[in-house]
Amino acid sequence: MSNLYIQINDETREMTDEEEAQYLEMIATNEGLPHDDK
Amino acid sequence: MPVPDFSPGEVLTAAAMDSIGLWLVKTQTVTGTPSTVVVNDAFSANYTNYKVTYTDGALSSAGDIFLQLNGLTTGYYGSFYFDNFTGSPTGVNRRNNGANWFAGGGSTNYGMVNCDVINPFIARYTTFTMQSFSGNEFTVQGAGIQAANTSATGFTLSAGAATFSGGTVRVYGYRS
Repeated sequence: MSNLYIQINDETREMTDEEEAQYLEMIATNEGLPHDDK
Repeated sequence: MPVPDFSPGEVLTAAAMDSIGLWLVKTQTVTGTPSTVVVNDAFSANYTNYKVTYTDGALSSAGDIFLQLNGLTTGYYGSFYFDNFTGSPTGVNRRNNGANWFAGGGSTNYGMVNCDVINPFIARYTTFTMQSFSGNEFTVQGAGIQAANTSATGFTLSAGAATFSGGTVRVYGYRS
């Protein structure tokens, strides 16, 4: 399990390792942001 | 169609209700401190275009909020122009086959998404417009497209390295 949390509809729980990998991959595509969001 | 002018106790006709242009179709309260919030069953055949907001909450730190259509992990294009009100930095956050759109931002004192999602449900490209404040110093505005002829029924908001703290996601449908 991850130490990151995901909310799906009304349920909030820890991300699975697969969900964490997908999440990190999603935000990894962000370049040139005003903030460092990675 | 006339502007609705309802009176207390009035029986509302279908014509009067049908004249309402913006309808709240989904409310989802953010609980805990998630990094990402998945909203399902937001888009349908009932409306073509939608307004999405996140209000009443905050982020764990100054940062940006991103939106991804559920089931569509690539194919995002667009440009999101930002300016620091102190004058620097100013720049563009671009998407060239990216994984999301820039949707909003926040800090420990607020969180904000105010964007329009155009044509998400029908099987055509979906387009997107946004304006928001972000972090402590930035104003951001931009637009984008998701290049797949695929229907989406929901979306996911993500807070980057931050987490959400409370707040409410609302989805409004524009009556066609």
